[in-house]
Amino acid sequence: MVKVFITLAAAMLAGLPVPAGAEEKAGAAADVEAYVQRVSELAVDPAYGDYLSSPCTSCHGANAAGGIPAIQGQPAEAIIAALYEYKSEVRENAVMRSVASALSDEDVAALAAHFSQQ
Amino acid sequence: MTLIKDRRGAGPLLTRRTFGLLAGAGAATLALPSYLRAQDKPRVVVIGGGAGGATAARYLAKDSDGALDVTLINNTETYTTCFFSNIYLGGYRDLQSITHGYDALVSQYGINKVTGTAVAIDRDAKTVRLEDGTDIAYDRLVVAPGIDIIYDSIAGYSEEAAETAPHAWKGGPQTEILKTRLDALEDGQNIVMVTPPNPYRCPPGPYERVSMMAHVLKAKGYTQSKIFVLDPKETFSKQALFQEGWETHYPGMVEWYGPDVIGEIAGVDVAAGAVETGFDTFEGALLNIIPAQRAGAIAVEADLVNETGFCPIDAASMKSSADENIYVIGDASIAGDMPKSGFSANSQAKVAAMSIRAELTGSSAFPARYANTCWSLIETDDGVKVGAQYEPAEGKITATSTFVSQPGETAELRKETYEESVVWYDSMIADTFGITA
Ligand SMILES: Cc1cc2nc3c(=O)[nH]c(=O)nc-3n(C[C@H](O)[C@H](O)[C@H](O)COP(=O)(O)OP(=O)(O)OC[C@H]3O[C@@H](n4cnc5c(N)ncnc54)[C@H](O)[C@@H]3O)c2cc1C
Repeated sequence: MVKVFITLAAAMLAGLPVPAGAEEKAGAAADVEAYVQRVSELAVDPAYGDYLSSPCTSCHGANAAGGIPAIQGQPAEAIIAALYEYKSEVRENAVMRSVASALSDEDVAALAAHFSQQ
Repeated sequence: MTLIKDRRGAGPLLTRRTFGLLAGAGAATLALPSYLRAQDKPRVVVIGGGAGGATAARYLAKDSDGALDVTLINNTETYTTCFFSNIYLGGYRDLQSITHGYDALVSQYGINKVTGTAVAIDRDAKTVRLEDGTDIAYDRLVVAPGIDIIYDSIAGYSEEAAETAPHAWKGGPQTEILKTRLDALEDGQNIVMVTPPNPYRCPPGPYERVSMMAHVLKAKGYTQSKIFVLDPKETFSKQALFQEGWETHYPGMVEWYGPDVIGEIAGVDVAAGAVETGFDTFEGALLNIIPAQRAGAIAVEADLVNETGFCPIDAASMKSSADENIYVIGDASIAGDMPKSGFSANSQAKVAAMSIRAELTGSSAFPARYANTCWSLIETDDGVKVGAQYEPAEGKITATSTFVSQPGETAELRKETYEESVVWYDSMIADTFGITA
């Protein structure tokens, strides 16, 4: 997987929702960058990513828009960053905080690889 | 050769036992539906084409790339979702928008759709008997029939009485009856709702329905009508949120009574429009009676249920505790901490499909993960949600992290929550039926 550093600004460009005030969290962006870099390097089993992604598609349809963003085709780094920000409760959404809290770093890597290749 | 004519005229069907004879019949074989043709592929049959069964069929077909022969049996041509039926009741959607067909599952995923009712499962022969006498053989069977209403759990109620006093707890005609009767109410006429005891389909469903009925009355400017909610349970799902919402949006309209006030629900008199309780008799121009529930009849008939009326399963795979070739998903299953919801059924279907593929095609099996979110609408743009992630633990499906909307949230957050539910519905339908809703 390509190593790219991601910032909240990049997540914004990628169209992922960024919570108000998130930019002010000192150090948060640096943490995200470190996390994205580390998780991007993890080996992934595509079959595992396929399976793990199946609960996501109940809400994130390929044509999703509005209330829930489509995540298919998003850059892997943006997906990793977003999941990290839900895990670390920078981002607000209660469903996604719950989802992310149950994911290991290997899970995040597998999901990012899966959705970025959709 | 025994040819059994399909009563619906969808072409000749025949029992698998006769297949050996037909194999030599040349051109005749080509005319057969694919599920009766030569099989070296493992066969998976799914009973029930709802939130659970249709998802299971789609994932089995999609992820096995043609290595499995998948047959989906549903008793109707189209499926009207119970999820969002309250939104329909509230006037935000029409019935068409919550009714879906199976065409994409057939044309895009190669699934054999059989329209018919499964009446028996021969667990030794591994065949499903349809009401017209056809037998369909399986290597693995997914049982996803949803719930059946236990009519006689409320004295005076019956399937016939439900034509006048609908339960509307199964999608389709019942929902339409409730909508028609709701829309016909005049100011000052009351609604009496009897809610079901646990466990039942969609824990927040009755209370979302109360909200949507109140919305309709309020939108018409009614000030005299009341909704009496008679509950056999002391507490209910998202109670603080619903009660706050009723006070805010529908002051004085909704009166909820638990068993500490009303005692037992002694019975209903549908003709008189009356529900008798240990405390008082409640009268209404519209009765919405939602009785106790159990797993769909086919699960009972096949002896897959325990004393609770629902089907015990292995939390790691959704496999029936009663039969190693059968999986039970959705409302019919005993899914531990998971509520009986469309989202849960959809999630369980994916675990079952993965497990079945691993057994039949040797694909990888991964640790089961489940998820659920139930959104409810209280008033226009006032959405709330509850949900969790789940894993097998302690011999059941166990919640690992949960969340629920909080009283007093901002209008902006409530609107966002409602907007999530709208996207969820469309995504869920695409995920289940392979179509864009
Ligand atoms: C008012 C209401 C609101 C709801 N709102 C929500 C919501 O917002 N979100 C949510 O997630 N869930 C909601 N639900 C719950 C949801 O509808 C159910 O949990 C879900 O449908 C269960 O899926 P299932 O596959 O187990 O059963 P079903 O969806 O009922 O599917 C079973 C199918 O099998 C068919 N069938 C049964 N027996 C046979 C047989 N012997 N042969 C052939 N076919 C058969 C049935 O006709 C049906 O088509 C709501 C329910 C209600 C009543």
